[in-house]
Amino acid sequence: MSLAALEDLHADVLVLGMGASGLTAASALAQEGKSVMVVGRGMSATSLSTGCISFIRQAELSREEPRIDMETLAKSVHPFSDLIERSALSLEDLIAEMSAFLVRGLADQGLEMTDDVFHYHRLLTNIGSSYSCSIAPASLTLGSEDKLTRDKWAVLGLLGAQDLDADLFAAIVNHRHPRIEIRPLWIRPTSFGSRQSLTSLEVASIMSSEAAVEEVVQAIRGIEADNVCIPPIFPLAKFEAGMRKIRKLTGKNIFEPVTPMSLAGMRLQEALERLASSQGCQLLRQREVTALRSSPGRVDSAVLTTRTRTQNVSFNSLIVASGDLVAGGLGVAGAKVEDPLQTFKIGTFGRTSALAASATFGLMDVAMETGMLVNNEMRLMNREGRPFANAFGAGAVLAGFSYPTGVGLGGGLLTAWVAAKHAMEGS
Amino acid sequence: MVRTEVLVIGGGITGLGIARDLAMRGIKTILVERKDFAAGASGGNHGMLHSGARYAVRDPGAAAECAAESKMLRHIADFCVDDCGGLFVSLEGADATYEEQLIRSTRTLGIESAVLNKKECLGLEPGLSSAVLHGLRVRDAGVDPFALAMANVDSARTAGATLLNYRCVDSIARSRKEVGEIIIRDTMTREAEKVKAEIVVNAAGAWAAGVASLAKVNVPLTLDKGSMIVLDGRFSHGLVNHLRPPSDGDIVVPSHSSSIIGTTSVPAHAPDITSTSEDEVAKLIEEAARMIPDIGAARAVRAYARVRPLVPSEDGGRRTSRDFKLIDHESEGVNNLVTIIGGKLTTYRLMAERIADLVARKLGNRTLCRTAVEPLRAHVFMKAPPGVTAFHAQRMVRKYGPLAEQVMETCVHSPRGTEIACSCEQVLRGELEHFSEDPDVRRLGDLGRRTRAGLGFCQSGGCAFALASALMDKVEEEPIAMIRGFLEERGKGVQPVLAHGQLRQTVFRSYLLQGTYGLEGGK
Amino acid sequence: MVAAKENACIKCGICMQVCPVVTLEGVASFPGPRGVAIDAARFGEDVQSMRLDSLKCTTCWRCEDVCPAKISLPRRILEIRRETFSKATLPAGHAQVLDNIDRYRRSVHPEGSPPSMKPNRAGDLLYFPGCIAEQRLPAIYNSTLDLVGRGDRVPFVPESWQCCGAPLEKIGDEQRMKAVHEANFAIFDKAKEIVTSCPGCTTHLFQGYGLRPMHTIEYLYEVMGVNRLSFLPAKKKIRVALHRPCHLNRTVGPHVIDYALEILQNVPGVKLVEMADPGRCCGGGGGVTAGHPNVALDLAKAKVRSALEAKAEMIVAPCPFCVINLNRAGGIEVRDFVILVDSVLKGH
Repeated sequence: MSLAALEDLHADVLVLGMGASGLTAASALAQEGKSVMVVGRGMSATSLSTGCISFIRQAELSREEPRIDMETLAKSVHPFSDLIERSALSLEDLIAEMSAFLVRGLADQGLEMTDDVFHYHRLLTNIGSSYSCSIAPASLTLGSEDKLTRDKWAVLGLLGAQDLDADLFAAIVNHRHPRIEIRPLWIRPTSFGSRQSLTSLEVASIMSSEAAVEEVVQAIRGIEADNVCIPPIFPLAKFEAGMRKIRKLTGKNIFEPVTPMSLAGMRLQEALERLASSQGCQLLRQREVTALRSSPGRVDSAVLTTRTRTQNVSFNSLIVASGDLVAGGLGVAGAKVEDPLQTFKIGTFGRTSALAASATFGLMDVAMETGMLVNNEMRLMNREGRPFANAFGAGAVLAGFSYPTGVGLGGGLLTAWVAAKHAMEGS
Repeated sequence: MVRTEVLVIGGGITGLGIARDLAMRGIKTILVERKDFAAGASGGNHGMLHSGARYAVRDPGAAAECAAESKMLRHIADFCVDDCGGLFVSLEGADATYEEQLIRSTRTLGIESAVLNKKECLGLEPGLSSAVLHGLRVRDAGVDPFALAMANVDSARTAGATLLNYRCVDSIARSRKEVGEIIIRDTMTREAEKVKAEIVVNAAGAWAAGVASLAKVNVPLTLDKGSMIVLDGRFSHGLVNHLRPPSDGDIVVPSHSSSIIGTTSVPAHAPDITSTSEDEVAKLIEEAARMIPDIGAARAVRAYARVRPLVPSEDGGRRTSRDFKLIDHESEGVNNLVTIIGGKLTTYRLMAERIADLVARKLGNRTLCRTAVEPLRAHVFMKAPPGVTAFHAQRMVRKYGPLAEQVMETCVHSPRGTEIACSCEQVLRGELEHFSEDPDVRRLGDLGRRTRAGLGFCQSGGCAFALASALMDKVEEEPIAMIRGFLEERGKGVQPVLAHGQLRQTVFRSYLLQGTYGLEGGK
Repeated sequence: MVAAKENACIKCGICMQVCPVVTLEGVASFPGPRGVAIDAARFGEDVQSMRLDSLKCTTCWRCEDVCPAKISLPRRILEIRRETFSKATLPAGHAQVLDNIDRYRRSVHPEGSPPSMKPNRAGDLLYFPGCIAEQRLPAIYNSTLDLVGRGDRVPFVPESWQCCGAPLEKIGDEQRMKAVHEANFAIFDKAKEIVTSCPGCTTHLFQGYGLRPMHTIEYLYEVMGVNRLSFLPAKKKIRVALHRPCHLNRTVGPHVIDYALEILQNVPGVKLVEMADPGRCCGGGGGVTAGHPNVALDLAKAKVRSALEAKAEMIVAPCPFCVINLNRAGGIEVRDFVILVDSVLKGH
């Protein structure tokens, strides 16, 4: 016994994947007047990220280099090297365009981001190492490395909240920056009760009370230091205002060390969703694309499922931004990386042959460089290697972009931007 | 200069068993181990208490010993034994002659066995391949080797022995008829200490030849590497063996919620080889999947390998006896040095007893051996205090036995003590803090082994930070280096088996650690 | 015993983040989807000691929704409840449910006034009201029969239906569940179509029986076209927040919520407002109202708080369990969806 399919849907553009890349492409297209549907299942990898956007691998950044190195970026970001050669756009223009759009859009949703995107901004991670990115929440940036040598520093730990281990943070910062001394201080907020191992959302939920924030403010006031690091406690709706309030009431510089898998990534995700909605995108959550129907050279429609029903969506253009192995956009069978939709060509960045389980490559490296192949217009290729006229790829689902052996969230977003440009022409 | 009656070199299961036996006889004993206890073959084996059936045809001496000792260990070490039974299964192309010989030998040697038909085999183990023809039921069991080793450590110390890890032997002085002063060096601080023992026991396993040459005596040793793979999930109720002459990939051993498949036999040129080749991995999975098909798509957690110290024989590898050998170097003119090589985990206690008998005789000590009757660890029951779940209390009792109450104290009284530090193994932070105080614990791996933090199926993620945070004030090493070292160790084991779920896991881990935490260097 | 899909867990912890019970109670009280289904489940018999805590899961299904590895965490939790049932000490509320099933073939004690409508006993369109609609919120029973009855097919309620068995699945009593399944199968055989009031029933008929019933909202929208009706405007508007019942939103499908929103938008007198996190569980499911009533109440109170923060004057919930549980929290009017629509169509 089964029920009929739900009513057919149609959109100018269907975007698969509700993470940073998908939402950015969707927002850009919607802004140009296209009707856009974004389909997502579950929670994106963006929600687990640091909430910051970088353009070059962390490992390649030297501590002293403040500017984005376009040459390195162009060389390492396949297929941009091709793209830049053949198109009128310079990489710098692309970054400027995309970043301006994002920074403005995110600010509209309550997330102030740095707007000086060609420089790397120093942040501290929750285990004390320096993290560099170009687009970060304005309230997290450290500024010059000098800051870490002058003034007094402290880090506040909330007993039970696991996102920031104040002792470990302090030990590592002190080791890595011998000219400063950062002291850990722990408090047990009364609102935590006897709870341990609180999740980020649990902390945010408890900290939504004024009294809880007041307790944190009091604790910070009692610290003899000008700069205080605190764990993430505010969701998007309260972030900027909350940080501002704490700064005002304590008179100190407040930093939120970079913490993956916590509120920061969720804030970015939420802000991007709101941006897409505000531009008129339809966000279809809890739905998964299980099949695509194509004719020669074109993809025509998709089959969505909810838990118990199916639905057909037809479109003029398709953008696949469904993420890498982690978020489920690509599948793994044994050591082979696969396209779960069985439509697109999977390839390995820098190598033309398909993935083979060989010790020569190091499985891990190959897995992270594997993904869907695109041409220099971001058009996805079918399994025979021919580009589709109306299907594009964006983000970590592409070969070479799996974060972090790719170039970070920034690289994925650039591909989304370019895909959107080309998708615009078609639909 | 420290004086002692006996110095035992080597903290594998045999050395530990010897130290315990000697100490229980009232003999003043010091044991030194160059890494953490059970770092050699004792820490990287199949985790089996052999019924003996595997050796019944070709190695009846070893078989009989296994049968007797495994019975004994079930009594004295029940806390770490999973008495799940074993099944030998016959597949296509079976060697009928060998099968007959096996059944006969088990009867002759008094090894309990029962022949089962195909239906009975599948009834016992529903995961078996339908290609199974028939089987032989035996009393194999699983054992947790590290838990067994640590229980010997604790018991030996209670009996008065001094056991030191991270101590290597730098030099052994030799006079014409005896070994003299031995220089022991702390491998981490590089501090040296001199020890003078009446008798020296070389129980260094795969390193026994090296120790022997320091003492200028000769110990012929065959080094043979065996690899194993840990799979996530318990694929069988009990052990499953391939009924055929011993070869690669014969055995599946369930271990808690995992299954260990193994093993291989590769001649080794050095004692400290711990890497597994691609070919070995492929072979092991292929062979195991012949018996239990689901294994083909299982999530392999990690691979590990150690070198077996075998008594040399004419044929190599599989054919080499698993029997053990005592060498009294009196035959070479050295009065106070004895060596033990060969054997199996299952027979460690017997090996220890034999050496201890020999040593005691030399010392004129007539106390009888009690290791066959004294339980290794007392049974305990502990109620969960408020703030700790019954589940966690039970985990602690299983892991720590009589120590559990003290560990629980730490959890309850430390401000962060009841934080869940490792979710795979459900380890509380207080457990980490407790063992961080243990002088044996010098590195994150030591802490992980004692608490099981970081050893679960995710092979350590966030718990690496919890481990570092707990240990960092107690050791010299800087936290990031500690974390990186620990993760690299885990990574070495994962690399050979990257596929299925573990590949996704590792990609995810890399996503977090490399890009976000900036733990640069090495994937 | 054989390795299941829980193997695929990559320890990302997203399930723990989104679990409403973890967020409200903490992991020491409820170990969370990962804690129960992935971590504790590995430890053989030790998992028995976690049984009581595992009963705090409301089976809201959010964890499975967000899991990147697509592990069916709630299914595993229910499996564990089943596996540990024989040695378990049941909470009083669960023991009571079993007693009710034995005696009355209902999950609740039949007390109070029964529904006033007398339905047909045969036909093509089977209306399965569920225990709560029949015994605790008879207005739902009456309104549904009335509303649906205005369509092409006249619904019938079979004489001897029993509790669908969903509460038994949540309690872990496989034996009793199978018994009610068998009894009900005979009844369902006769129906060409099934419509249900309670999303718990809808879900269980789908997952447990392999049938495909419609929830009333699906029927109203797809078959009767209620969304296409036009109404006269109302003089006064009331601020209404739509609660998303978990067993409608996540286990039947989000399309039902889209339907509900569309219908509500057309209902005169309704001004739709959105609560923060409207999909968060109200605490009514999973057997938690019977097994850990304080946890159910905490979740209900949190939901009411969200509604009040959004300045809602009424919560509309298309689920009898949600309605009952939210009413326990008090502080705001709570109404079932069908009752609201029916009353509007009647001109109230």
